[in-house]
Amino acid sequence: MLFNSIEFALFLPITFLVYWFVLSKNLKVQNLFLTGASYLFYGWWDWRFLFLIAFSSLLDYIIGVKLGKEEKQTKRKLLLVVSLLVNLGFLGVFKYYNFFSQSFVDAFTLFGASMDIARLNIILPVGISFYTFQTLSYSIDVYKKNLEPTKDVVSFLAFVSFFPQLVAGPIERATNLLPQFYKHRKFDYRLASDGLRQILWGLFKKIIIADNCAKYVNDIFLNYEDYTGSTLFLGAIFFAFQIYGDFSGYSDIAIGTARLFGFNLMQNFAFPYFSRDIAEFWRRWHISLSTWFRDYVYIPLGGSKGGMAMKIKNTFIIFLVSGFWHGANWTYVIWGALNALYFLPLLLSKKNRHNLGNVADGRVLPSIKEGIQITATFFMTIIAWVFFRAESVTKAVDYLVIMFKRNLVSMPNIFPKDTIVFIMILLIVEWLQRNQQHALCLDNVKIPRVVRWGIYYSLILIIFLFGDFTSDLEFIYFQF
Amino acid sequence: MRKFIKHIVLFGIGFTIFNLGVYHFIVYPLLWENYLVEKEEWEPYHKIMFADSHGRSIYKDHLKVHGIYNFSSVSESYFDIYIKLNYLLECGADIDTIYLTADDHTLSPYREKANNLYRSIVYSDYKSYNKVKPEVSKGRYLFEKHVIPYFPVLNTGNSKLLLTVAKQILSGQAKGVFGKKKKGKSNKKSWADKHGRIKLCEKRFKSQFSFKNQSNVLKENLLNIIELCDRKNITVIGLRFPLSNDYLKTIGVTTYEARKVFIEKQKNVIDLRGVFKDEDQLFKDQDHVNGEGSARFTELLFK
Repeated sequence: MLFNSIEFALFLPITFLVYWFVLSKNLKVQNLFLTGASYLFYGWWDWRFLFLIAFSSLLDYIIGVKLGKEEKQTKRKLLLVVSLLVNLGFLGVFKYYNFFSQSFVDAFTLFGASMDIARLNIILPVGISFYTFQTLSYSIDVYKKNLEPTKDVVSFLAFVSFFPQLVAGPIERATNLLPQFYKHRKFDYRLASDGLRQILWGLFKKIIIADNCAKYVNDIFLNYEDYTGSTLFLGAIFFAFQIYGDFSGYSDIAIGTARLFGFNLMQNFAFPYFSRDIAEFWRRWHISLSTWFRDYVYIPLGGSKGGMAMKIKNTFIIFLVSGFWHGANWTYVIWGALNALYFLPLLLSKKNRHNLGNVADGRVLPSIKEGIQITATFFMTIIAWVFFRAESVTKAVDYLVIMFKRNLVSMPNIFPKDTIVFIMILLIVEWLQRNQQHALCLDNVKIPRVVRWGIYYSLILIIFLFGDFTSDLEFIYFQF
Repeated sequence: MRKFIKHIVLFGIGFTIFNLGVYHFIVYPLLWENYLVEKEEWEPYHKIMFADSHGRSIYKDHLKVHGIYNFSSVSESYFDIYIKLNYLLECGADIDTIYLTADDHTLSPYREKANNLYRSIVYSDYKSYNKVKPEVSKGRYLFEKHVIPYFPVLNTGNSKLLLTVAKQILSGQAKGVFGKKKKGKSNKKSWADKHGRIKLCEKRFKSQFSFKNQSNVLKENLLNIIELCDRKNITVIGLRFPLSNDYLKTIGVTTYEARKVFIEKQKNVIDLRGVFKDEDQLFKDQDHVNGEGSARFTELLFK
């Protein structure tokens, strides 16, 4: 079920009303209902996916219980290995099997040998990378004794399948989300109304920014050989906003929806395109994944405790793994490697933790230096996004070569004013609200209700007047 | 909780009132009033013309003399036409010939969106609609047919219209929108002067021909229409409507090849595209004939 669909527009209010009006007195039943609603939400794509998520959840629940009882380190390790093997095994089969088998065949062909490996004709279950990482974090945290294993199977099933963030994150940690299922939840007007505002802003980002950019991005990336460098540059910029609008829009809707049900999810995007260097960008982009890799890959590998060589090695590993997490294609790996290369000078000069606060803190406008830093960082990210978006590495390289060689300084062949105006609106609103949790957070601002409602109505009008609902554009991150 | 629900309900009521206002004052008079046709009107005819605004500008009375009922509508796509044709046949229409638009722009992907999707749905039941759009569930179909029309803001198919009206209201030209247009007269002042004409032509060209490839969805619907007609022994005649000289020059050889589909399916195409190329007085704008043009077009069609 898509967030921007009629089905969800019906599903959400019904679930909300039953949850608060019928079941609010019984926490267990409320959690059971949330699990059922989440399974309905997920099964709407394909009911067969439900077996996979149910199996994965039950396995990790049982492993968690056993880890709680087991004292012997070797047995505990074995239990963790089972959890890792099964979960990553599913991910490997569904997401990476065909990629590896094809790469294997290609490698053999390169040396003149011919090989034939059967390809699996399977569909990738929506959001498998997200919930796999979420349930893995539980097993790892229980193994490390950072978290008490749960004995409440319903809460655990609800935690893994919680519909607002099930298919595209934020990838929640059991330490943050699971305890929220144990506590009796009271309806909080401020939390819920702020949640609705966040949903509205998320829809604006998805429908107005991402989907409008998508039309031009698809055309420009498909026919890049026919366009001028300036058009390709615009295409790359549009993709930067498409992926941001798409993914952060989804996160906003997810977080806002969770708030309607009394849950607090972690912030997933903190206005990343205002970052002054690439390290700051990665602290602000897909925060739940970056911190996941930091905590469960980077730190266990030694993190930044060893010498410089180890730091460099570990940095490359997490960026490459992060790229690979996005999909079984070399384009994602190159994208990850490129980001690691961007990161390297900061790491070597020990400047990777320079920009920890908000940009232009206490000021309306950034300084010239900050402006240059933001522009340079944005430019670096769009070069990397070309690899992320292109169908193959060769096409990405071609795209960049044409972009720089063919009339980069000229009027683009395509220049959609409406879309550019909306991107400007997005940037202005987000800049003004950069210290908040989300761009439409009006908690600390005193605005008369008429004005506030005027803003909401205007956004709804913009969404419907300028949105494209006929293309059935799914969220990009669903494929991951 | 009560406060939250109260605010949601109030917000919803405000939104509903706004929508009903837009429906009553803008959308109904401009889109619906002349769109719905009673069975008695088309039933006596065996020849039907299906086209978009190019065909819509041919007066019904001019065609009726020749036994043709003009079922064209503004922004109609092959998808809408397929829906309407199915509807007529299911209502028992005795059709022997259809005149079907074969203009250059009719397979443009722009028409997939700038079309009458939500209007033509009134000419369908779920069974026939399901044949064309099997992915649409019954609930969604009912919602689109019975709810969406009254919430025009929710229908993105109306976006262009609503934006144009909003612009005219803001620039104080609202009268032109709400006032009744005189039949066949140009509503575009720009058409009066040469410079304005070229600008209008360029603007129209940009909106209709900005895509590289033809629309596969619309081509499939065109093929469906032809296939349905073949099955029912209905003759299909392709029609290319007259264009002004300036617009012919602007388009040049650009086409999405609807004509080619007709030829491949061995259907005749009557090409009247350039018949009025030196007679601008027969047009109300770059690609729509006026009343006089409509009469002359009909004469030529049946010469």
